[in-house]
Amino acid sequence: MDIITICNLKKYYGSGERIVRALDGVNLTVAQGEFIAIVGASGCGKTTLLNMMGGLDRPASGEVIVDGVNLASLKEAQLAVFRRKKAGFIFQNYNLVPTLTVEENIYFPLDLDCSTPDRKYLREIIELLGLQDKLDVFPEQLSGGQKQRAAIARALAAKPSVILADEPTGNLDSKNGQNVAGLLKMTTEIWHRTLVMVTHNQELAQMADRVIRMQDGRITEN
Amino acid sequence: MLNNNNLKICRRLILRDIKFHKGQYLLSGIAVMLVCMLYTFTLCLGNLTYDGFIYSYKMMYGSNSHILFYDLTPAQAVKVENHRMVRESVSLFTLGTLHDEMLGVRNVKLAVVSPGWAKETASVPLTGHMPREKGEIALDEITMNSLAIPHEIGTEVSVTWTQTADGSERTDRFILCGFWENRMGETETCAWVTQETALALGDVLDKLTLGVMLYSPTDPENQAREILSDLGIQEIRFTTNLACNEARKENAGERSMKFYRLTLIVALCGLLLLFQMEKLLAGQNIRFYGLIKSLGMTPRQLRVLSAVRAILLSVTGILPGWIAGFMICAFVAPHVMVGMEENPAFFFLKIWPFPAAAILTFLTVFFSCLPAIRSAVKNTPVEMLRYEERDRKKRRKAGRRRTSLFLLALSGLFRQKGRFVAASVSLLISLSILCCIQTIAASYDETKYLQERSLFDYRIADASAAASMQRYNPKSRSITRSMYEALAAHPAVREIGMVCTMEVPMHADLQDRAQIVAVFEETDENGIARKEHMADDPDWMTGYETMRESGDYIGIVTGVNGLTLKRAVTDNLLIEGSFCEELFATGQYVVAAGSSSTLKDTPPAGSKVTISGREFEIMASVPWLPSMISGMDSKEAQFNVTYFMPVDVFEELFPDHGIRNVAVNIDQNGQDAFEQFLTDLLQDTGADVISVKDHQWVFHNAVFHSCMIPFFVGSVMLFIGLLSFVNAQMMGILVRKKEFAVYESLGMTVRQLRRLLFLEGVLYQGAMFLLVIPSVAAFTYIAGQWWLAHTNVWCVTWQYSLTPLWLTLPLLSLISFAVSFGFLRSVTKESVTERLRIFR
Repeated sequence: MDIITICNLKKYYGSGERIVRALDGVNLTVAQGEFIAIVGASGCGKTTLLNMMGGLDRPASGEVIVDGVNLASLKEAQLAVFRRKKAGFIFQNYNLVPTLTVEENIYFPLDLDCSTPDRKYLREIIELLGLQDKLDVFPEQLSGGQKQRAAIARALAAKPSVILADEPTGNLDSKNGQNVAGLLKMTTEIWHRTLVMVTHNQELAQMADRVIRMQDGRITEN
Repeated sequence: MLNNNNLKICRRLILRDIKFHKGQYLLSGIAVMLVCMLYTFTLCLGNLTYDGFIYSYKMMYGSNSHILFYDLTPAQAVKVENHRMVRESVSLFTLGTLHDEMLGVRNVKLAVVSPGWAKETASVPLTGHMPREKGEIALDEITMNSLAIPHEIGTEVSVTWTQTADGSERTDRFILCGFWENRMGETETCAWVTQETALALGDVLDKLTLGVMLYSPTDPENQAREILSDLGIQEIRFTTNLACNEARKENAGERSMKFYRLTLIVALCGLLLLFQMEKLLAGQNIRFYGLIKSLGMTPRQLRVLSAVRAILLSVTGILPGWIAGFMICAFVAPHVMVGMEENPAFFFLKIWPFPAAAILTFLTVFFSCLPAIRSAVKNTPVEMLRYEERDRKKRRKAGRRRTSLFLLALSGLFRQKGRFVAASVSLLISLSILCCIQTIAASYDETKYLQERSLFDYRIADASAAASMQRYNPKSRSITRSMYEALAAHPAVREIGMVCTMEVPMHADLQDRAQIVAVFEETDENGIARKEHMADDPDWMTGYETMRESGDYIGIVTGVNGLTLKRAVTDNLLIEGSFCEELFATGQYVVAAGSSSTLKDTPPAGSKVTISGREFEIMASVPWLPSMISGMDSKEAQFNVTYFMPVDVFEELFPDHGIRNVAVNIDQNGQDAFEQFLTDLLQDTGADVISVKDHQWVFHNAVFHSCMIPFFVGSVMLFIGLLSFVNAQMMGILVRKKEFAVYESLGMTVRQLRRLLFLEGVLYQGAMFLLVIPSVAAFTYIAGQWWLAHTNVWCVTWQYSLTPLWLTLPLLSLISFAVSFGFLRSVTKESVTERLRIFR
């Protein structure tokens, strides 16, 4: 069963001669539980594609259907709730809320709509990611690897349909990068989540079930 | 599934944000406090101006009652009291009205003691008591002074009055049992006697005056008519309180409106300041909103987040803003409402300006936050998270060139142009306002004012002429000859002189009156006959026409000596003839003074006048100096010619006269001792003293009053401008923490960084000075010249002043360098790696 269906997706920036075709007619399907890696040169449109899947950006044309929800049909408020419940983001620069503790950051998507947290599930994630001693500290007190682990925990907290990771190891050294990538793969497997990861790292991409290569806003290899 | 909003999270996020960014919130809190302070100040001032004017009208009317019904029978009064529109009432049995031309325009009713009325009209004796025995009377001090009644309980008082019942005039003698200082009733008051006295005077006490308070004081004239119509007694005479008069209310409203209009400027200043603050933090806030939006925060939650932030910011600033605003109002109020014993800010204190200021403050804060929240709601999370990158792309236009510290600083300045403009706007506006006000204040010429208004160091006025609306009574003896001699003998007194006046009927023959008539019939530069300028003074017109037709007029014969002679004649401008002091002293000559300072509106020099049967020659004519004499003359003497003569000659002609004024110049070293002596000498006499200090006070107060509001607004805006400037500088460094780390990582030393900031500071200030100095100088000159051309103030001399600008510019430089180097240390405290990792 496909969890993500993308049809003829286009996203352009600028106009006239200076038009930049970030996505130029992308078609893609992702099956539930699948781990795919999107690779390509800088500026080829992979982050834009990821943002479209997560409802972080609006396409110029085309459709993105995630877990049966056509994102184009959602209003702004509905899109926000979609991001909260259906998509778990992991950013290269972690994007943890600096004024909240690690625990509050993990619970943040749940707090946004007063959901009752599945405490057992969350405890398991926290223990698996080795964050149990860091729950009361603020992000600025964590190392890069710890921050990214907190970001993974947050992405998994709301039990989203898809995990979208944009260069999750881009800011980490290779050892930490490997660890984080391993944890990411493991957690998605344990809880049977779909993972879409954008990366430059070929080694990391090899961990995926499928590798998608992009160039100039198009998928060149699937 | 898609419509769940938890709003509690907003509060938590904001509280945490405050905890993490105390410095920023402190600055914002100060800004909000300033805004609230300005709102509180203008609203309190507007309120007290309105209430103050209404209060002054009540004082003039002499009663708090909304309507006074006259000549009611007791039965009619009961009916009026019980009318549905009447809330409460006080009654007064009036025997008649005091009749004495010395009372001038004042209306003093002879009435039976009415404690309610006395309380309502603030006419309860403060010295002595209300009449208790037959033949006793209690009076107000202005009446006593006008009638030359000494301020002594037990004095026998002779009062001429007109009976209400039959209109007959009679004179009766009473014993003074009490008197009070006039706080109300400048034009209308009561003289109290007992009921027993009234009956003995033949009054049957069948007519009374009823003062009523209405449930709603709107349009009391119509309500009075309705009450009388309902009761079928339309013939009853009534007056309504001046304070309820719609035109006067409108007038008070207009005067207060100028303060309320200031709230618009305050709103503008407040928005400007808070916008600037928000603008400085825009990148940081937008990225933060982008982050939480990417995690699933809905537009509604974002809006609530913004509202909670506005509320919290407002709450922190409102209480100190209220206190500061009210304190400034309390400081300024005595200069706005002059002459009150109590501080008007406390006297007219009302609650409504405070919640109103709080609401306006909240709205200002909320609207200043609105653009950020609108952008957060409108833009996608990706656009918001990339906010700074997008900004940088716009700037990358120049081609490859060799980088130097100067070029880096220059590009830094261009990158901060938004902040630069934001900080400059407030400074430009505030300095323009301040320099304009400074120019206007400096152009008010104190010397010119004092030369015109203050002819002497001290002018002592007889009690009957202490107030400008009191008619001078020559029988008054509050200043005696022995007091004059005591003053003359005081060691501090350098020069002294007196003024004695007497109104004398005189006659001008055809030749003499021709000169006067020619002046007033002649047209001025506007083509209007000069006499037409006096058309609104019917007494003057009557006096002039009488003189023109018959030659009869009132001469005010004025005895002067010493200092008063010097000021009135010797040092004065001669319009006609020449003055010789020796000849003047012979008593055969007088000096004439007309109303004009340049025209010959007196009988010609060399002509003869007869005063009290004795012939004098007019030696010269001089302009009349209004500030020489206090009080007013009779209405018959509104058109007059003044004749100065030596005091001893005056005494020969009018041996039974009093002294109207004494003028004194003193040695300033003995000022304190002299003032103490004067206070002791004049105690309980009712005589009034005006010193040059009083005139200076009046001058300074007038200047303060006219410049205070714009000066205050300008000062607060300048403070706002400086705050924005500091904020812009501070944020300009703090938000570049990462950028500086990049420079350092590329090999830039801290010394080079410091030099970079120094160059940036110099360029920043240079640009600001280039913008501010010519703009402010030009604006001040143009606005000042416009003011000079349109002002009706007579004591001005053009003084171009840019003092606030010259004081502010060095301060700006100092702040700029202090902030730059102070914050550079703080941002370079962490290691380069730590700073390179910064997200927010």
